[in-house]
Amino acid sequence: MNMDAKTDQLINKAIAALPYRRPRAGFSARVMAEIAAAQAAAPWNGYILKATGLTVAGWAMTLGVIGAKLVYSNLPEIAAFLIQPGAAAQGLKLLAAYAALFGVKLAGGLSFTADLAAAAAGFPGGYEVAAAAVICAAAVAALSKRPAGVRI
Amino acid sequence: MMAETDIELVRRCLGGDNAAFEGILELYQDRIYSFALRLLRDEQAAEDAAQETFLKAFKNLASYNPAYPFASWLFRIAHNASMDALRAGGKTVSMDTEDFSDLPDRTAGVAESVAAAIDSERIEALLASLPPLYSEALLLAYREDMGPAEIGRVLGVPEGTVKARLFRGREMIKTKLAADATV
Repeated sequence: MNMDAKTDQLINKAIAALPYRRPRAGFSARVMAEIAAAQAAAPWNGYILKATGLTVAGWAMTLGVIGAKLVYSNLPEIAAFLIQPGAAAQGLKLLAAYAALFGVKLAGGLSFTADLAAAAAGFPGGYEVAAAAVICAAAVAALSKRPAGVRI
Repeated sequence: MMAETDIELVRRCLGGDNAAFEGILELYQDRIYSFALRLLRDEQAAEDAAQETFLKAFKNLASYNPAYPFASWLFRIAHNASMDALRAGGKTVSMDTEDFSDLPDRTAGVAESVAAAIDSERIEALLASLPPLYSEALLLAYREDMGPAEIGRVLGVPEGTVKARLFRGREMIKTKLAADATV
């Protein structure tokens, strides 16, 4: 065996023989206490997540109910419209027109929201939540209102 | 009674038995703390890194893959915690280019008597004088008895890089030993 390989071996052996050091007394107890504290905090995170999920589901359900109510209240008009000759083509045209109108309104709304978000960039997270709530409320209000004289 | 293995303790922990984690702590606290201490060279920082390691291990125990040794999974967390602590302390730990400009082309020979006289204190000081990337590779290989593939998993580098770091680390130690012998 050459000298270099022997030196390598001696270095490896010296490293292998290094003693393990023990952390200060109570280390294990401190770690277990941290774990217990983290676990105690964990249910709160769960509750917050569940509450957020329920709120979102609630909003979605409200919007769904209002949309369904809108269709239900216009059902006679929709049915009368659908039995007319060429109703399908007209219906598609009408839907396209509504989609175009919605697109324009959406673009305007997004632009306004972007401006609002840029203006509120320096505010804390709570303002974002408040802004989201206002936007959702506006969406619900817009959908629940049926402008006078408008018929499908 | 036979002591429980780390895998058995992990299974118990995953089954909701938190007390089993105390067994894991008992098995690994000295090894993890010593590893962190030799990299960070500060008792408080090493203890913080070790505590962080065990907390992260507990929180992410479900992500441990039993196909690999538990020790290497735990040492990977300890490596990350120690590197974070080093970075937080303002030390540079990344070596993207693995540049070894301070290493001579050929290491001066070390007299056998000098190498044979390396005791714990001396090797501890020599390891402390190396950049952490080399000392940790050497510690994992010889103190923790891990192979290059396993060290690669711990450090997140290819096996070839591990072998290069081991070689360079040993060469640095020999250079320092040779320099000390001539003084």
